[in-house]
Amino acid sequence: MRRTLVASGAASALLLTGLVSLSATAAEPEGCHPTKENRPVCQAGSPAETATFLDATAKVKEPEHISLAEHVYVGPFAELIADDDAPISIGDESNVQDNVLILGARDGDSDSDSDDDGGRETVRGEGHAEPGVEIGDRVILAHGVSVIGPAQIGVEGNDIPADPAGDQEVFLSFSSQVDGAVLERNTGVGALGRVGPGVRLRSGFIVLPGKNVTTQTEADDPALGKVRLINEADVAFNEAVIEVNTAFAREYTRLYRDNPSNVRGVNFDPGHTEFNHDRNLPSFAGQEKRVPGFRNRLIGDLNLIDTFSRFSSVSGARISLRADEGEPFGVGLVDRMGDDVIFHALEEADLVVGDRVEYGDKVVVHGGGRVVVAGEPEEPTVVGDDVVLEDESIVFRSTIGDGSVIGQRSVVVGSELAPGTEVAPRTVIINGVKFGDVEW
Amino acid sequence: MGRRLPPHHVHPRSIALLTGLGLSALLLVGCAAPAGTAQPETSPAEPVEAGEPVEVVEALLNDEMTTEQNGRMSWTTTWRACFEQYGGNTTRFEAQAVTTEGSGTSLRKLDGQCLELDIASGVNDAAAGMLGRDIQLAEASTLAYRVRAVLDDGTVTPWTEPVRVGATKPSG
Repeated sequence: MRRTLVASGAASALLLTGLVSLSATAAEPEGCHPTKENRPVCQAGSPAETATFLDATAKVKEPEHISLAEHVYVGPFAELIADDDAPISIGDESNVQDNVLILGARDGDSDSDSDDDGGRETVRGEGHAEPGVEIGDRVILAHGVSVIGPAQIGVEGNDIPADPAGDQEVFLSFSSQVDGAVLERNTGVGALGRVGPGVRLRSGFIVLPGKNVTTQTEADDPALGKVRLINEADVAFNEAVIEVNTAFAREYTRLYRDNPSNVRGVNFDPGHTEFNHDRNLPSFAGQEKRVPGFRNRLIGDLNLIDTFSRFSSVSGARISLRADEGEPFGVGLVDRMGDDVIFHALEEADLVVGDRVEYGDKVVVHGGGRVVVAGEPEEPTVVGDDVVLEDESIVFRSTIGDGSVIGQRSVVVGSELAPGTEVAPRTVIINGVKFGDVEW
Repeated sequence: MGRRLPPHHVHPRSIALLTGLGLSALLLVGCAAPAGTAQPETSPAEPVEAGEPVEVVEALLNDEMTTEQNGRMSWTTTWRACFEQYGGNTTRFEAQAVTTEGSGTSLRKLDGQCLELDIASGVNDAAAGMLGRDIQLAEASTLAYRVRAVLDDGTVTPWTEPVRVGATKPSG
């Protein structure tokens, strides 16, 4: 489980900073192996203030080849798939949110030597990483992200002027992917963005939503329209998100220790955080329920119109409706909810979904306010009645009018869509305007 | 925070209201901490609150562009929001980030009365203008700040409702 970290050989011509390179070599921290005895708290017996927490539904394969540092939060239905040739390590204060996949290697890849990898040697460029997945400190893997090894994130690279504190963050937004690439410190990937094999995303760059970066030139030159420079707002956002998720590691640990069944199925949110003080239970048709044995995770102050039995009959598997920040969520009659659906939001009543909504697989609905009219309160995220959210679509800080259809793998951010709107598949809509296509 | 503007910019211009937002439109509703509930166990002791939340007196976007070699330019868009003095006895202002994922706990000291943040930047061919500015402003709006004044008797004003980064309000 030791790695040699090779410092970047080339500095970006576009990063105009006198910055300090990291040391050329480093040893992987020992960390905690999430074996049975170290679930859900890793290490078992750690103080809550430093503990790492893995949701009970998280899937871990070959935990002896997985190393987790302190203050790490691993959310519902995340998957950490390692093997002896493709270890996974995750640094301090990082988080692995709902339904994230970290795959040490594709089937067969992990048996390959770095110089003989079954035909993939053509992708080995500056973004070559050691086998497995190495994730540094303060890396955010948001809902639905996938990381496929060999990959390295947030380990090499430089400080940037936008983050004078020098404590580095990397943010991978909703359903983005890192596939066989290296993301240096102080980088990011927008929603449904991707960094492909052999590419090195250098410190100070972030991939734009929906863009697929497959060459080093695309990763290095913002003029090509796939990346931009990280700014102070990005850094401030990332720092706050890390604070939130380290609080989750601490407070879910406390929730578990109060009663181990508290962190399973339909259950309490942990409360006791700056952003959510109280522990609440979901309610179905007006009745609060706590069902630790349920296959999906429904957490906190969710108000579902459906009865529990009806919701169970129309919903798939690995669903995470998490009201541990925002609450309450109002959820209308569900027409159908596919597998791997995620709801999440920030504080107070900013997510409402209507009746007869059809959710495909891997849909993400994320709340957040939006300025609409001068002098008026911000609008919450609202999904109207009879809306169809096709597979892998994302709705974030938006209002989706009744009867609208959001196409497969499309993302709608900060927008108000009129009733009956049809968003074509693989489309990025930001602030009501088409930004581009999802390129992969 | 508190970034100093480069001295050699060639074309600064304050951007007037893009959307005609008024003060209340800068403020998020429903994001303040719920009342009547216990404080987080890990929070430091909170100072005593007094008075009313401070108000935004001005919020502007400012673009700076610098000509580089080979026909390229670097540019930065800065958002600056300034708050009223509270009865003349404010010793400093503090801000706390509010994101779509929840509120941070760290306090940031403002530089004087103003919160200042670079929210978009780039280096590209000059002919392309400020390439990607709009998308960066859109992405910055996932962030907001709540702000309070620290008074000379040690008390603090209540937090403002979160102020959306990138939203603008002219002075007066």
